[in-house]
Amino acid sequence: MPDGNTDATEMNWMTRRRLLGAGGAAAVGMLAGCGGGDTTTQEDSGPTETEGEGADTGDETETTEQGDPIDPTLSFAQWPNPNSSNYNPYNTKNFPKPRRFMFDRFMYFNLTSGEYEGYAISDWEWDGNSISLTVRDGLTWQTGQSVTADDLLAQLELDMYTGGTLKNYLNGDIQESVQKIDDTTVELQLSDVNTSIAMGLLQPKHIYTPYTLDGASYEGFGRFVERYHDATTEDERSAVTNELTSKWTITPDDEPIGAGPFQFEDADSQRTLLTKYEDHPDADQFNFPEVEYRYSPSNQKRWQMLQNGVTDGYDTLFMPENQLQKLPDNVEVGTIPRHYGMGLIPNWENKHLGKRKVRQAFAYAINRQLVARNSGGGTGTKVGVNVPSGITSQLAGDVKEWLGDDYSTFEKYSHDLEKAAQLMEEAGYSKSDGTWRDSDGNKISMDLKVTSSFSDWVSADQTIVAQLQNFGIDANLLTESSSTYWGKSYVNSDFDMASQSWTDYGRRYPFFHQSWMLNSNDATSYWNVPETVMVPPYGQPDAEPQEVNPLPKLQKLSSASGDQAQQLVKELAWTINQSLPAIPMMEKQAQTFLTTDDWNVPAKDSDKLQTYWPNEWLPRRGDWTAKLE
Amino acid sequence: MNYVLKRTGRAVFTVWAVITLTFGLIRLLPGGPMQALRGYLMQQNPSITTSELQARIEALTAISPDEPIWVQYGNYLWGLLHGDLGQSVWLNKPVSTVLAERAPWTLFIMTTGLFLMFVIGIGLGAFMAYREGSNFDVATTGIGILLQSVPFYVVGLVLIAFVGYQWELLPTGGHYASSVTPGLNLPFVFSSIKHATLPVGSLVLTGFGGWALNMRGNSIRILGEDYLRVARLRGLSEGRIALRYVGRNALLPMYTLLLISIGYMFGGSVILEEIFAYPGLGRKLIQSIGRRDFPVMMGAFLLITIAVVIGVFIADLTYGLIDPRASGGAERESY
Amino acid sequence: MLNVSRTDVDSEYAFEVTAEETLSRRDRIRHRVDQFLLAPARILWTDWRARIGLVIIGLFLFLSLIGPSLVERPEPLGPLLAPPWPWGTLEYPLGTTYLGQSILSQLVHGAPNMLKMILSGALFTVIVATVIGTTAGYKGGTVDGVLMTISDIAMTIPGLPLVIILAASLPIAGNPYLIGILLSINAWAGLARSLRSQVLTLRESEYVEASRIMDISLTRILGIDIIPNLMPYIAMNFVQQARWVIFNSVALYFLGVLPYSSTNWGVMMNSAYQKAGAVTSLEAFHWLAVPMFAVVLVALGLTLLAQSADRLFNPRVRARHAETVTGENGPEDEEESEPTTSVGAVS
Repeated sequence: MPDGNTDATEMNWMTRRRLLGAGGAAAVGMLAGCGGGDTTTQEDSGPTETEGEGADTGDETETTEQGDPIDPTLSFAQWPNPNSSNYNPYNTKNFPKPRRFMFDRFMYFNLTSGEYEGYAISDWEWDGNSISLTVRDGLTWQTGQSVTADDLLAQLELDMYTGGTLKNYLNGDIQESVQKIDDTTVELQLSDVNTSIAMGLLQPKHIYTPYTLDGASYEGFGRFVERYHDATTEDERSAVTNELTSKWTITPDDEPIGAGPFQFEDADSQRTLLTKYEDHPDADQFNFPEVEYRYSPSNQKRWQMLQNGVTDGYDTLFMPENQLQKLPDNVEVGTIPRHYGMGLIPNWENKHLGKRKVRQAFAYAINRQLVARNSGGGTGTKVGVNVPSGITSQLAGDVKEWLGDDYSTFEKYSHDLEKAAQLMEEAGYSKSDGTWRDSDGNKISMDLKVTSSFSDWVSADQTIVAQLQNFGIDANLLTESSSTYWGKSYVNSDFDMASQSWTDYGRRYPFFHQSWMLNSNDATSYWNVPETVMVPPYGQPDAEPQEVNPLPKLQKLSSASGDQAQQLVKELAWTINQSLPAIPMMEKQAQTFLTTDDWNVPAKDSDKLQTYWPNEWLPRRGDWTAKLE
Repeated sequence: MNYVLKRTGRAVFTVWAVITLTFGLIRLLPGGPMQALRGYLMQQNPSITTSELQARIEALTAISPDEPIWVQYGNYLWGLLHGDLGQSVWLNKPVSTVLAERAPWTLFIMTTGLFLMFVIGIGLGAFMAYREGSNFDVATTGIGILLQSVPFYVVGLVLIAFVGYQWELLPTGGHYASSVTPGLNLPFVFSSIKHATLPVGSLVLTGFGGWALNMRGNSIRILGEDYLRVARLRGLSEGRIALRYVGRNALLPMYTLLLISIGYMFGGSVILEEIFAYPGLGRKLIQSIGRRDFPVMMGAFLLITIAVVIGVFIADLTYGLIDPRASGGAERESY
Repeated sequence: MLNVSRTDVDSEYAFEVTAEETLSRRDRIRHRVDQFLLAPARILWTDWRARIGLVIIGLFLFLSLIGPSLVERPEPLGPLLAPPWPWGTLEYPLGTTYLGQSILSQLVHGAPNMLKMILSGALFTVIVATVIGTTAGYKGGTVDGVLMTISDIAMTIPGLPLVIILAASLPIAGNPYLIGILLSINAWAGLARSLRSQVLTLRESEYVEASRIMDISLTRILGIDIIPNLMPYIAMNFVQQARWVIFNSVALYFLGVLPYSSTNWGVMMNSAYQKAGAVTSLEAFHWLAVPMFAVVLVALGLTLLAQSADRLFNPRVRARHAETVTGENGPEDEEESEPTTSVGAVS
């Protein structure tokens, strides 16, 4: 799925998307074309990007220079205590960041060019609705055993058995749809699905799960696959899931076995140490022997570690302006779009917020730019949403591109208290004593709930509540602990307004976010978005609203491409824009940190940074090397 | 002896009541470990989408229906009787191991803090009493009152900000440096002391004033006693009087207080350890509440309760032995 | 204030109270107001500590009761992290937060919540303690046994961890009154115990004996004969508990373990610490320092009041040579004594 950050490349990808529109076959060709593994250069990507160029420049020559690295250890930070970390990906408790160097991702995704490049999956090929994935040649588990199709199969199947979304696009049940073709290839049979969606789901996966593992003190994951196959009832499958998700692959006696460029060396209460795995195909890219992850359970600690030079970088970490100022000169801060941002979630069963006009009035009453400013702590890394539409990457111009000429007919909900008041009146409310009241004269009181552990959301919500109060709504912010909020208030719809992302995180294709806002389990079960919503006909905001069921359009969009896809995205955007299942507030630009004192890294505005996890990709692509003495 | 038996019975009963109470309370907590996990994962920028994350959590919450609460309670009590505190949900360890890693550090900073404020407090208090009414006495009394009004965490934060970050003199968190190996070696001991300095310091700075004022009050009272006048008339040296009579008698009431305080300090460790990111029992307790790690929560709570019970228990039993003026336990049971 | 030996005070009051029996009801009320409110206030005012303490508490009351109507609500509209005057402008005398809210305004609008927590916590403590302590002491027997066993257990439960669990499990939704009560959930136990011991002494006094013989009801005896005599002691504990609540509510809010709906001083500290990393950043330190200073000031006011009340109303200190520990009270009662305040701050 193409992605981008600057206008120039944006145009580039947009044109290509239109080309793809000519037919699904073109998409298949393009995607297969970029599957050439890490040596492929992309025909249609600009001359400044991809690692072909990186390999030619200084970095490469420097790695061949003689001498020892000034700093032999690349240091990052991790959340869970290294002592009690775990590397079973299905037991997500304490699954720490060192995994990023111990395991490889399926593919590399360049946000600027929108290209996929092979990595752990070096090749893939579409054949109609099925895709065959081939494991990279020479990739081995750190016991020396090759990574095979079995391991890949285990990864794909277990992901789906434990709730992975890809299973929604399978053509049949999991066992039938995932087939081993040969020792290194697995075929996935999908239903009629847009390749952007399928690739968007496949690319971020890692190969974590050895089917069987010789020479390790724990068993492989194959037995879970077999048990899932054997299970006939839901209870049996639950039992397998239960066991799989509570298994630990690290104890004082056994060490996790990876298949990435660095292997587990040891862990204590302060850090996890990884050493280079010389048999990894990309081992040459690393001219330093160690990577360490330091234990830092709080943001304050992570800021301080960067400020004091304890860590050499961080992939995505929010740091407010007053802390950024304390960074030494050798720290570079880049920003990467995350396709993620907080929205104000109305409870559709609330007697006021169930009314479309009230939601719209709220959208007018809240200045989203101010919300974004305050949430971003002066860094400008949060961007207020201009047009609520379910389309992300506003900065890159995606919203305008997708909506095209119709952009102007979409409601902007620019801060306008008069307009808001007018909508409230139309909805049958009147204002007295500075507060809005319903026809019975009761004040409109509502709580906005948020979890205290997301401090940027709390900031945003404080701003929202203050503005609602100014508008004349008796609004209150209620801050709850993470478990109470997620475990009780949110999942039981025990809120008037809640705080949750309006996007589906880390994906650029609008389908993900539109589906999230209109038809996800969260939307229908927790926000109580009904099956059909009232929306005026496309492009006529003042016309009489009609009942619309977005589900068929979403289903069509999941397999559509080209102009048809764009038309569907527009129509769904209209539904969202007019019905506001959630009121999108802002979009996040992740701050990513690199240091230049001991390391050769790209400049902070380099396109090389434009990937979701630059700290993990740059070293693998030879773009983050140690300076030598 | 009857009193001792009765008192022991009451201590055991108290522990049981606390177990039962917390067991019930904890089951009332909204959200289980999986829901805690949801927030935790969302916070860490996972590489899966929000909808995928939610779907997985749903899949996990659906499994393993709980046994009825009374069965869980029975099992828990039965396990406790066998010294089994259960298994942590979040850590691949038995609760007893988790607690055993943490408790010594809490014990270390809390008892050091208490000991220092006690010693400084009584020393200063006695001295103030001798100089009663002097400028020194007035000034220290004022300072004592002032310090008593400062919560220890405020001093802690100021110490962290200045001693820790601005001047970079002392570490602001953790229990020892990563470079040392735990064990009986000098670098480790030194590092542990260094890391404990700020937390202990903030306790002592805000705490000694109260002890000093109390000691001062006790001493002044005893200095006015008739038998001291008699002692002076008998020509006993001032030093002897100070130690044998004043010191001893003024100290007696403070002894019980000290023992009781030990237990209470454990409860207070919750705040202190959070502020200094000190990996002790209190921090573990807060963490496990946040994670809904019920077995660890129970275990930590239980341990802290037992510390308080034992503190009060010893205080009760030894009080009569140490202070002969106090009437025995039997009479105290007269109600 | 170690356990007050009631002997001298008893005889003193005993005389007054018996004399009262002959007065008319209104006179009696006036007399009581004078005796238990005005007279103590006059005595208090003679002490410099009490004067400072009363001024501070008066300021705090003004801030929480009148302040919010004088100062605008904190709006997240101003400049971000503006420094306090004189480095900054007088528009934001205490500077602004990282959201551009005036810190002065937050301080003022956070004050009522502090007052609500303090009042509800302290009232809850003294009321529950008085009811349980006096009933147990007066009734004796099984009632006494049961009540005292309950207070023993309550005293032993580690307060703060219990508060955290309760706050998470009960639907209190950040209501400051409930938080105050929650924070004092087991604080009544110590006071109840020492009140009981004092009631035991009072019970034997002649005038109570007289009331009993005259067949006056239990509540009346407690309310008219016994509780008024304990008032100074209860008042002092009220102040102590108030300080305990302010210390610990701020601490738990600072740690972010309590729910809240509108700002208070602990929430301010938490935001400064969590969002702006105020301990490491001088630009943001004022955001942390202002609420910290406010907490210390209010606590100082309360400490001074308690100290001088102790000095003025505690016959032991007045007489100074009196015996301290009466065996009857038992060592548990020692908790009410002075260093508990420091210990209490921790536990």
